[in-house]
Amino acid sequence: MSQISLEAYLARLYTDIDAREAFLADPEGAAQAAGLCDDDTAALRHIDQAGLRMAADSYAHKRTQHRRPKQGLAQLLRGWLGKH
Amino acid sequence: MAAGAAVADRHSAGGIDRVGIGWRGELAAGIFTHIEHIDLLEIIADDHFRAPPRELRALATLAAQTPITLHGVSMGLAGSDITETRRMDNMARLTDTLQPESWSEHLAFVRGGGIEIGHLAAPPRTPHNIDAAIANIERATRIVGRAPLMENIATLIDPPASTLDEAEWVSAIIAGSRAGLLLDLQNLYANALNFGTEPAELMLRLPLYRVQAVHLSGGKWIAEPGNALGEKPRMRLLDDHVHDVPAEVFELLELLASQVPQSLDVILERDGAYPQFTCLLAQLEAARSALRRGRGMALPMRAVA
Repeated sequence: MSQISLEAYLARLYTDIDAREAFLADPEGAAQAAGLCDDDTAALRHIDQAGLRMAADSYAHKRTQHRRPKQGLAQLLRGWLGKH
Repeated sequence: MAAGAAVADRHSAGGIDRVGIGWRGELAAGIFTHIEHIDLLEIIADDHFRAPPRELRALATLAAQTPITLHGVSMGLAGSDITETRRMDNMARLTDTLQPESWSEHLAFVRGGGIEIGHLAAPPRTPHNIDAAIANIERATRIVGRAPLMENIATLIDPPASTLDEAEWVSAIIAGSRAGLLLDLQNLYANALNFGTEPAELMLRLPLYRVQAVHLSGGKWIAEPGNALGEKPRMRLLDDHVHDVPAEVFELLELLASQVPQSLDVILERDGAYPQFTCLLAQLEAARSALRRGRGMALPMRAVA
């Protein structure tokens, strides 16, 4: 259960800028407030802070990309066949 | 005959390694025009889970002409929580319809506590997570009807609360499941450089005898936040799929080909900043050259169990 809670908390840190900034200001306090166990709280005290910011930025960029519509293969095939 | 020489003979004679590209709509015209230079196509499965019948028929037509493999991106099989059955059912339906040669997913978690991260994230690498990932992969294997290939991911953050390193974690999941390994060499290269490991050394610690497929792509260096003015900026390598494959990644492919006896399916991934298709064809040919060089070397099979 502990690891499921930890992954849920990481998902929040990766996607919620306010939660992330609060955490980075006080990792131990924020983790405790989120209800994580002592071991996980201790582990997060030494988190790779630069990596956390970079990963979060990267995920935000990917979420934007995923919202772009994609053309279907049938439509592409028709378009290509129409030109050849 | 030495085992290594046998490997070289088999591959130089049979040419059984295959090189293909990830299907993207933007590349469709180039792929159709140059299909004779493409041994197989990798199709993002999630793009087609809700496809109308007409779209599925078009895909089936493509699959009948060119070997395809399906690549999933949203199951989160390496999450510690149980992956929802409906996500596996989606893959099962699509594999039933298209009959791909294989299907794959990622060694990643993509959601937690009801929050979608929107991309592939590295979970804390622990024994508990390994057990959960194996359970998810085995359930997916039963539901889809065949085992997936599982891909190592790139991460910009050293996963917190980990008690195992990447090689130990990947090896344990592959050993405990029936999954093959889809080895993304750019991901491996980026993680090695970002977290202070020698790329070839990291690769040789993985269960290479289980590698069935390989991904190649490119990335770019980005600055860490908080670099001080006047100091040399600290950088990390981002796997962005919008740059050409670097020479160092082709060298890893060559080394891999020299280490394993099994045939490899190599897929070039490109997700944007699309160059002329001839540039992508040149990278496919560079991959074939690396494979040939590696098979020619055929070092003793250190990685074979």
